[in-house]
Amino acid sequence: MAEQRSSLSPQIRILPGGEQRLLAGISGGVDPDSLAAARKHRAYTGLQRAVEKLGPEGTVDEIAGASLRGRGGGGYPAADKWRAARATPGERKVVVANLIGADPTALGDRALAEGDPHLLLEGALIAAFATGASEAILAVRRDWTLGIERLRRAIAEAEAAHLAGYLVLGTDFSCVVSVWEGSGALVAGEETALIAALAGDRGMPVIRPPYPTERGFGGAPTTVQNGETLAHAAWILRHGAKKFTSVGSATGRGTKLVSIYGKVAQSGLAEVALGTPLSAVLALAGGGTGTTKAVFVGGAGGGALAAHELEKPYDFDALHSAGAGIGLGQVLVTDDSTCMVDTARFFLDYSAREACGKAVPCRIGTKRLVETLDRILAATPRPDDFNLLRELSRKMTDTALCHLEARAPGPMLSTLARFADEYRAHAERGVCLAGAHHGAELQPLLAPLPGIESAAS
Amino acid sequence: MDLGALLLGVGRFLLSTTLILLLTVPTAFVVIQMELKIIAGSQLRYGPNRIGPWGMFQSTIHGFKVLAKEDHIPDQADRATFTLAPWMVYMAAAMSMLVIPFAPGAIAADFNIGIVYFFAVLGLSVVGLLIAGWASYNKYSLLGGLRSAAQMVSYEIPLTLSVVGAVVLAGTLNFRELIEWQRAHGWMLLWQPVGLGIFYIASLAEINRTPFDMVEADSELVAGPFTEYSGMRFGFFFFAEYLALFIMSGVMISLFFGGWLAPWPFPAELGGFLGTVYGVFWFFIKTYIFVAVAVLLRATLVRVRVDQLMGAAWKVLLPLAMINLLVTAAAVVVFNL
Amino acid sequence: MRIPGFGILKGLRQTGRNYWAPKVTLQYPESRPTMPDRWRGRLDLIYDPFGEHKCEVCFQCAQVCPVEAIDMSGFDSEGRRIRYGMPEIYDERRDPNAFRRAGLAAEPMRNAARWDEAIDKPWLHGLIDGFGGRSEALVAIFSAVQERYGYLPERALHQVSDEMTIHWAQVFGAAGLGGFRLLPAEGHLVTVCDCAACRFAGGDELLTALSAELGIAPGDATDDGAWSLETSSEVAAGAIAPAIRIDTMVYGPLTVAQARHLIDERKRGDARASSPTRAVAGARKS
Repeated sequence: MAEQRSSLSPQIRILPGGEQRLLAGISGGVDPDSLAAARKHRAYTGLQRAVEKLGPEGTVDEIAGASLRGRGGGGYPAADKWRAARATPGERKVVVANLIGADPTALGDRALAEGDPHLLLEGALIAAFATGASEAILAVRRDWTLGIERLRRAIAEAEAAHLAGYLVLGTDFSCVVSVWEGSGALVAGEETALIAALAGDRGMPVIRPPYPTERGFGGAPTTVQNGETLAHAAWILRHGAKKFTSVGSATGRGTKLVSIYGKVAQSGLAEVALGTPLSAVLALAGGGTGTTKAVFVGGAGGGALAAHELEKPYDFDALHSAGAGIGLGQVLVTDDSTCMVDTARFFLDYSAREACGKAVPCRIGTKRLVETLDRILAATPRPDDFNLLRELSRKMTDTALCHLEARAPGPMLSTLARFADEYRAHAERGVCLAGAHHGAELQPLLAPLPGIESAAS
Repeated sequence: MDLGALLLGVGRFLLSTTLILLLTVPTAFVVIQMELKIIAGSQLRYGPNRIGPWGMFQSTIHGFKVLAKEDHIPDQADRATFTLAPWMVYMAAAMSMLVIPFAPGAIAADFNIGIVYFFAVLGLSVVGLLIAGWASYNKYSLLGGLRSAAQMVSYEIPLTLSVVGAVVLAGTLNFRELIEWQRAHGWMLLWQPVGLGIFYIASLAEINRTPFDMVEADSELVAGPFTEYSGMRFGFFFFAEYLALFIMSGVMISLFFGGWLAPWPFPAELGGFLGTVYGVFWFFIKTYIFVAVAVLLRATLVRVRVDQLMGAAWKVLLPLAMINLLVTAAAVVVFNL
Repeated sequence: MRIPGFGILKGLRQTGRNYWAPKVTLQYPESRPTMPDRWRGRLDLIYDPFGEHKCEVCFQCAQVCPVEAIDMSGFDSEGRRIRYGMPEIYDERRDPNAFRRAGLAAEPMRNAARWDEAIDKPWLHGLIDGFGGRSEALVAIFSAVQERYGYLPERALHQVSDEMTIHWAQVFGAAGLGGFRLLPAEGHLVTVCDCAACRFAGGDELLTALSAELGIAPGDATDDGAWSLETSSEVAAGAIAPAIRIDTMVYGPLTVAQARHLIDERKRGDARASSPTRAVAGARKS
């Protein structure tokens, strides 16, 4: 019985159009509560193929042949990570599926957890098989109660059907899968911070090397992979690497789940082939309302692309060289009435508030950048404020402990490069070229202590 | 010349240069150790006394430590010149060691123009310091390098001029012959006291020793032109500096204090192998006495300001050296020496 | 008469003499110096004449340490056992003693009694046992405690730290990073989502309107303690932006008028409105 789209939480709206590889399962093709229904849609055929035919090396080769790159923002080739984990000697190995959904605006992982839990589960099992892990942890944000429920049920059903747990499919591959509920901080989506949080520590990143594939959770080689990447891995094993690479660009094969929001006709979740021009991505959301001014891809760790750059392909390398990034698939569309300086401040403020506090340049730098933008917005800049923005950003990027710190100045730098006249107008004349009213919306980062002047004065 | 003599000459040259190079490092270690202990002693403290008996191996361990440090080149430094600078400074010192008269028959290169060669080669270290300061891509290094170049260049003039008096008296530019002259006529310091004074002061300034060490005034310019250097590169500069102290003392005693001659004329000098040992012994005694004096001066004296430094070179030492030269030359002509 | 150079010779004489003089260095650790009684250079806590530690556990050192190197516990001047780990850098709670020592005017703590409220120890003990006391379950335990109390009471955190033998700093640190509340909310808690999606869908207007409606700024509570207002990016609105959360129910997408209506509903005591702050089992939907 095909379930309706409404089996997902109301927060997730699936947009029509685009590719339908993962979405086919999510948007109602598969009953998320039944293993039997999932198996009708080829669930676990990928796992079977891996375990019975390909073997661990063969599985990694298949993933390598598909050139699957991580969908958690780094774009690191999944096969390389799995090979590194394979190569590290050790009795116990772990696979962690990163479903923390650090950025609440990115709906892809949540949709997978709620809409096609078996796909995720299969992906985690395939990764475990390929890397030689005997334990898989699905680290899910604790707010996603529906997703957690469905994942747990999926695990129970899979274990009953000998698709997970001990002696999978009658072979000597065993993998115990569990769901771990994590808190939803931005930094908890960073792989080493996630491993720390799994152990019960405060989730703060650690310096790498050693990478988690060398020493991770409990000292064991750990493969931390984004949930969507694992879903793609399962899809690859089900349908073949050739089919996977049939869409996508030369540097980024396959599809990505994107969450489009902002000034668009319909916000929601879509799946696009990598390499699709941004304008086509926007079209899936019904196009921008009003005149699209800039598109912020990649959330707080991404960057902005101006309206004339919308023919750029939505791809890892193309966006990275433009000063942005794919991130978790967030696409924020802004129109003429949005102030770029304000948006930059918003993203920086988010990074500053979510900072775990471990790295000094991040903890203090993000705050200083916000203060600098506040000064600019209040038309009381210091003479070298623009240099300060760039210098500080450069220092943060150069000395970053984790990629969140390295990418935090992204939105600000990319808007500064493209919309310098807006920054100027604010700093020099106190005028907002976008006509947005700033006044009471300016909230200081921390409530000022009594007796100490706030920095925004 | 026949092949045998050629080969012998080449072999002798190789041997002597190898020995010289091998000699530089232990010499530097010994001088550094002396510096550590003498300055400590004059400051009422023990100095290093844990490593080896009486802390003897401290400076050796310093040498090894310097090897173990990270070798870091600043991002925007000019790699070629950055690498070249310590090399140049060290080679200037090592090359100038070639002409130092350790003992009769124990001079690595017995040039006829040994003295000129010595001062010429020593000047190469100026270039080394200057490019060290420039290649570091660091304002402080650049300033330090420029100051050092200014200092060393201005003091070279009184340095060389003070020696000319001795050269005119002895009638030769050859170290060995000058010492022979001293054996015949008594130590040069009796003939050229002013020259000795100028030479001593100028030599201290030339090798950047206190009181003229604002090149690397630690509390003023971090480490001057060496700020960006780390590990063995800095080690080279370090060695070259202490080596230069030894060399300058060696040259000073050769020119003014009789070189390898014993203080008494019975005998002042021996022949054969024993003579070499005897000469080397006296050479090293005298050199290390002066090294010790220089070190003690470091413990005693206050650093001069850069303008006082330049003023002293140009306004005091240079005129004095010229007058000395004039008087010496006049005396030679008048007294037919 | 001043002869140039004699000063130098005098100096040399002094240093030369020093060289042969007996040295004043004390060879530590073979011989140790005796320090005066009031010397303050030691890195240990000192005792007063009554044999008590003089440290008052004011947490100033722990609060200010930027790398969380200090973890302390002790008895304050009122005999209560207090522990402190990582300093809060997010301004949620300040001990009034700490304020006083820093020379700042102490803010009166709202609802101070509630801050130290007693908790159901057996229940928490059972909860911890249910997870086997494993530190991996820390977040799950926090979730359960927050479900029950609406925030993480300090005594609960203490108990967790004691029973699971986890460093207080670790417990506190894990609690501080991850969307757990450390202070009780008063009355109905209205959370306006300020994630990027909501903000660009009009979330800031919602905030202004609700702030005006309730008469308080975000982060405050009304004087009668019936309403508190805050912003958070973790309401996770997704496609229903702009959204707000009242207690545990998420509503979206909302216009300003609709948001005001929701508040009014509750103010009038509408029966359909959910209960304040404390969760009703099963009603929690994100």
